[in-house]
Amino acid sequence: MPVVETKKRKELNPNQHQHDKQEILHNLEKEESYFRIIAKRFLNHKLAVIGLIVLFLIMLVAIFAPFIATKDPYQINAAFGAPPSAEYWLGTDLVGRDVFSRILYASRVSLMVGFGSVLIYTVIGTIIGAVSGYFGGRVDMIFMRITDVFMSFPQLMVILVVVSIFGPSLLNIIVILGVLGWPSVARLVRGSVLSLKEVDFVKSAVVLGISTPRILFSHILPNVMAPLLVHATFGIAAAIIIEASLSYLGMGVQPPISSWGNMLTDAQSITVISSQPWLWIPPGIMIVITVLAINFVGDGLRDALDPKMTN
Amino acid sequence: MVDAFTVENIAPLLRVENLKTHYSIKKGVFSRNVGSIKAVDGVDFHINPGETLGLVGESGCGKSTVGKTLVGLERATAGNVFFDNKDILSGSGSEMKKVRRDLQIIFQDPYSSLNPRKRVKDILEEPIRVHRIVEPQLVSKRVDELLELVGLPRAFKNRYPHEFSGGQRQRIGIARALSLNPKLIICDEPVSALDVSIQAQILNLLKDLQKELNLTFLFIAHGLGAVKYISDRIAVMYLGKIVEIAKTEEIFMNPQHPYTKALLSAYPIPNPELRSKERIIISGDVPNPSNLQKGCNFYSRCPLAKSICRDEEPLLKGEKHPVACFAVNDEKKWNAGIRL
Repeated sequence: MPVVETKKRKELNPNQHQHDKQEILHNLEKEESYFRIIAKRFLNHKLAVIGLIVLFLIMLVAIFAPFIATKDPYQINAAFGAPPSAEYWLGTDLVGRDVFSRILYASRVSLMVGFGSVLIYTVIGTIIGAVSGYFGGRVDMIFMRITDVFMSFPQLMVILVVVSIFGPSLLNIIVILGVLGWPSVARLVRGSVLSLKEVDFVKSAVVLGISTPRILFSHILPNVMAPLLVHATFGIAAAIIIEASLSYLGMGVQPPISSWGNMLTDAQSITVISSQPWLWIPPGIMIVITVLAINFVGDGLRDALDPKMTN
Repeated sequence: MVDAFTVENIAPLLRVENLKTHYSIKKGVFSRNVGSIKAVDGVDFHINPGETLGLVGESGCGKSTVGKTLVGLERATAGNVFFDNKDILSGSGSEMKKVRRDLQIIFQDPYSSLNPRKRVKDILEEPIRVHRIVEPQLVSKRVDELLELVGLPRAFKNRYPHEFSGGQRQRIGIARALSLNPKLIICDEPVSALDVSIQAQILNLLKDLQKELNLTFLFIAHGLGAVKYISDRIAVMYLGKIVEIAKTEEIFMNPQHPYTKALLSAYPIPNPELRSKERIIISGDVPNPSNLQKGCNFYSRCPLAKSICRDEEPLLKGEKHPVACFAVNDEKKWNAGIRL
């Protein structure tokens, strides 16, 4: 947290004080908001900016898939497993569907799983972590033991079991990933809240008679946002990979709906791998590009939000 | 501040009786209680309206804990606190919340006391809005007034805390404490984190505000200079107990308790002519507050210690200048001459 860090910095380096003063004077002229400083630092991180642009393009593709796609992704065409051509840009799959169009539509699935599940577990984790950290004592003890239990599940196996009970579908995958992912967020938030509630500005809010929910949501949580955002970004990448793995195993998104993972399922046969690379290389590349882009954004955010980094 | 205020028949604004704040030490998986740290262990004092009471003592003596307990940040273990004739420790509910608004605090560290994500305007507006101190359309005018009171330009209200210096931040902290029109403000070492030149500005600001708004202060500090400058009376604390209370001049000119004497002799005097030749340096360390022996807490370090000090606890005695020391209070019991 910026506050705590300033204090620490000062203890480490006595010259820092002078530096801080100059920084303050410098800032006084510009009236910069916290957000602006972060944005500026983020923009200095080249890979992160590239990642953000790529991610933005993928989002555009997902949103406007029907307008970009050259064919109907579900329509079965005359050519089976045809190589790329002017008509079928990336060829057709073993059933005769256009691979290019299917890849475009599949980006919707990946982004929905990524953002949807992370949104769910971030909300759950934040609430549990915030309550646990702020109230402490017995509440904290109980919540943290539950978190420990959730953390000791072998995640992929639990997901497989739950999917086989409730059936594989896009919504189920999102919900399951969302419900299982919260413990790490809860721990992160709890840790930050624990240290923040001892900070004087929170104590002052208590003395000023501000209500507890208001203190939690308006004073403490905004200061937890930085690590949370970074964590969530990496979480999106992880969720996309889990969805791809599940779909590859046939436990995720079911055909005819396309997902990068279930498109890779075809690559389980040696003949496809060796003689029909257009079936598996494009979806594979899409997964790599998307996850890399998100991870670069996460790296950039982490550096931009880290108070110790100065440019 | 003014002698008239210290006249006995004026009802004190704050009366603290036998206040105790203990922290329990927990150990093991089941959080067993294995003892307690007696941070504040039976403190009595009062503050009259319009007065400043200085509370001094070394680090860890419990002076900050007294302040935090008074504003409700720590739970008192025992004792009574009467503020405006209402017992604020036992009472609860909305009535008590209203009373508590009149009791505010200024923190030591101006860096951690302001939320880095909020603009000055938001910091000052929030309490005013939440408690409906003024009509909603007058809130922003009230913020301007507060900034003016603490000597900051109105234009600063759209800025974030990181854009200010330590002294300016402390002024914002003071404005926030004033936002609810309190009667008593606990100043918890408000100047110890600032440069000396800024310290004087903040102390003068506090003095001016006191005159203007008829405020009462409990001024907690370890630096004697600031306390001497601002306080009408001074209470000296050692290991959770008050050992001496008197008017400021009285404490500085005629200290009674051996600990007070040692504390004063550690205070540097700028003029070498005025320095006394002998300095009292107390030996040993502060005893572990989780494992206090019976008798006087200062016994192990006191140059005047006698057997009675080990067995009995001295009480704060005296009308005008209460002192908790056998050497001072019970001269009959005392056989050895005072060597200090």
